[in-house]
Amino acid sequence: MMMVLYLACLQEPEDRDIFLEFYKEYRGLMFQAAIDVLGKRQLAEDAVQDAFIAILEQVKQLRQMGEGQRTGFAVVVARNKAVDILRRERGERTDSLEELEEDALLIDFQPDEEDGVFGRIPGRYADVLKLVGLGLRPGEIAQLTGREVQTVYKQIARGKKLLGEVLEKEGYPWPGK
Amino acid sequence: MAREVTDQELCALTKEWVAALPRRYPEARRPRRYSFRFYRKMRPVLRAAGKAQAAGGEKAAPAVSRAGRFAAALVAAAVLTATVAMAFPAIREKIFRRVRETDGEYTRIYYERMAGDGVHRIFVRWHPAAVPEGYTLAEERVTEVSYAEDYRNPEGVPLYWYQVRMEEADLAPGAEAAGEEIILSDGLGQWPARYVEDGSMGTVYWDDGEYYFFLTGQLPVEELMEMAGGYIPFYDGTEDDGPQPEFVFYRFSQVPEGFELERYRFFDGSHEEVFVNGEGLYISLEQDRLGGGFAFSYSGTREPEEILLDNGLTAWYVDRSGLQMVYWDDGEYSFHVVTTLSGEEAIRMANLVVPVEEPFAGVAFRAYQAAYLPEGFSTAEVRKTRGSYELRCENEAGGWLTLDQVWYDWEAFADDYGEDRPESWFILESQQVDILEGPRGRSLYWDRGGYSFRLASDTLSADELIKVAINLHPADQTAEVFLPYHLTHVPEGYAHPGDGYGGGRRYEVYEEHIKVEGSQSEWEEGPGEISFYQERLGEADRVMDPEGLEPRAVTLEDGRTVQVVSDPPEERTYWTRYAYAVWWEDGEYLLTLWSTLPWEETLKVIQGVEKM
Repeated sequence: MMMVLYLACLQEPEDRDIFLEFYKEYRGLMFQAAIDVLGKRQLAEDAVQDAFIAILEQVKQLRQMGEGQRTGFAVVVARNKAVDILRRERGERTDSLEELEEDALLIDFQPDEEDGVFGRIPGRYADVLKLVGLGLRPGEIAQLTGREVQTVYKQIARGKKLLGEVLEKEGYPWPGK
Repeated sequence: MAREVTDQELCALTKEWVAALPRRYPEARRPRRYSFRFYRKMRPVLRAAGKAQAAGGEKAAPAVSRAGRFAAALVAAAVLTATVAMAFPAIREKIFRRVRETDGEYTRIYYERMAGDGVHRIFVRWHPAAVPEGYTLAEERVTEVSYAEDYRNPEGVPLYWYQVRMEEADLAPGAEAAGEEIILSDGLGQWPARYVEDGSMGTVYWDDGEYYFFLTGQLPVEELMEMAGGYIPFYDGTEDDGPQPEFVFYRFSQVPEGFELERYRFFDGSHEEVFVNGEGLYISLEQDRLGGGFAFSYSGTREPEEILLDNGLTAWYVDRSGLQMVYWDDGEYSFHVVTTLSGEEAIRMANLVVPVEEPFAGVAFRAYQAAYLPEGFSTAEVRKTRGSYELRCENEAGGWLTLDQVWYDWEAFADDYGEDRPESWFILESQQVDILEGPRGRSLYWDRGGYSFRLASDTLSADELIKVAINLHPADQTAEVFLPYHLTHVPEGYAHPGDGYGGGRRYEVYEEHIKVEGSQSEWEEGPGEISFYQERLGEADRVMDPEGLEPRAVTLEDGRTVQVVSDPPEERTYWTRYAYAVWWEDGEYLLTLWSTLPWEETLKVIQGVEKM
């Protein structure tokens, strides 16, 4: 993620109000999403703060989102930042979480039943797909998640394929059918 | 073979997922206490959103009053002294719905408009830190745009405090500035104010650019000025609840052989300790005070198992993908044990959590050493105590550099923040670093690894201080110095986004970005951008993957050979927006540069990459 002073992002009063409204409305939800991943209060707070910093740069997206989209957006970004922190915490001692997830995908993937069909694929794909579903473009997703944009393109492509396989093989209904 | 989902199907699936979120996070709307550390860290973010005081943290720099404001002040002051307590007919106030928002100990009360113009602005209350002996608070009043306190002494003599948004005060047309000019001080800075008398009542009033403040009472002007100078943000939660009882530390009475304390942190009302062994396994304990505050709640998919601890308390155990958790509370604190050992070991460790009288026994203060010092600087003085470390370095020209390290304390250097001087910030190892500049020099403030740091100098640039900061390491840790490169050539019309420091180091990466000046962070479709990354060789994960595009070696004028992959827009095959990806090594670091600019301009930027 870019290390910038974000003041330039919020020159317009409307952006400032939207951001603050978002902060007030969704910080609790974001904390829940983060602690669900991290299990530790201080780390979860760090994740929430990282998430808000990332969202500062995408505040214009919030303008176009309805309540449902904002809810999903808040959860995905908070979970994503929480996973980043978890990777760092674990990375000091074990393999990266992404590698663990890759292994898990092949060998012992534990689906997240409460995450619906998205819980059937690894989190790093699921997060990106959710953000696409919420209307974000790959560049915006890259910026939010701190990934290279070409990585995001790859993850979207692979994620869509994985999700298609899950729908096909595990009997989930295809949307619209 | 299954087909991939379409974007439309993805939208429909995402909608279904969002609809299920309230079930997954039922606690999301519950009032929650965040640590003060969270508020402190969020403060600059909220400030960036134009709501500098929304987190209730700091006093705005006093502004010089304009003549028009004195007129408003005069009217309001007259009203204050002439009317009954808390009646301010000259001030426009509307009908609001009272809203009480509680984040644990920080409770905010504000009034929301019953109908009308949508988003309201957050009002941050201020009030005197102390009132003269004998005065007690008789009444207070809060609206969205004003705050008032009415103190009375035993004889019923009033002392009024009033704060109102400047734009919400009705001005009296033609009114003139009144009263004598006085100077208020809080011990750190000074600002102008006015003093008027109305019979036996005197009023001191001033503004900070956002609010008017009035203090009115039958007291000597000197006493009013002293009270006025000591106005502070209002934390009503803290005051309502009274002083918190002493925090009783709980710790593991023992840990398995081979485990050593890696991290020990304490915050307001909580503490955490983490033990690791040589195999990378760990055990942690987190303890938080209850009482309107935080209590660990599990919301995962696996059903926790109820267990009985040796002390008779009920606890819950759950295996979360290899992380074994046990959590419980004793009515005063919540506890949370996490380990990568077995479930049996997690429960055994939970039974070893006991209160301790010496919370820091066995916790060594690990002083951080400066692995890098700017040229010419050498150590002049070192002071160590059980809980602090001070380092002073000097150069021959008399310049100085100081490092202060203390156990984590959110207000360790809080006094420095009160001064009237510009601030900026950046991120270092995922922690926010504040940069304060003032007449005495430049200072950096941050928290890391359970400690709070202040790094200051009278002469060094922000870049030099950052370089020192990122090369601080615990004394017993042999760490290599990370020497960042940076971009010295910025093409005409380009700039670092935002004002000031446009780069930073995150984990093991230094990065910097420049864009077309004034661009609005439109990442994908932006007109132009250069991104630069520096990672230590062997740790770099930014390895090029050109996917069919053939890198070519280019030798620069200075002899460096760089690898270049070009993907100009008209022939774009893979790189979605960058025209060039360039990378090279210097024996210690991998340096990568992405550019949307023509090659000639990109080349100039590469040639301008120099060690900081």
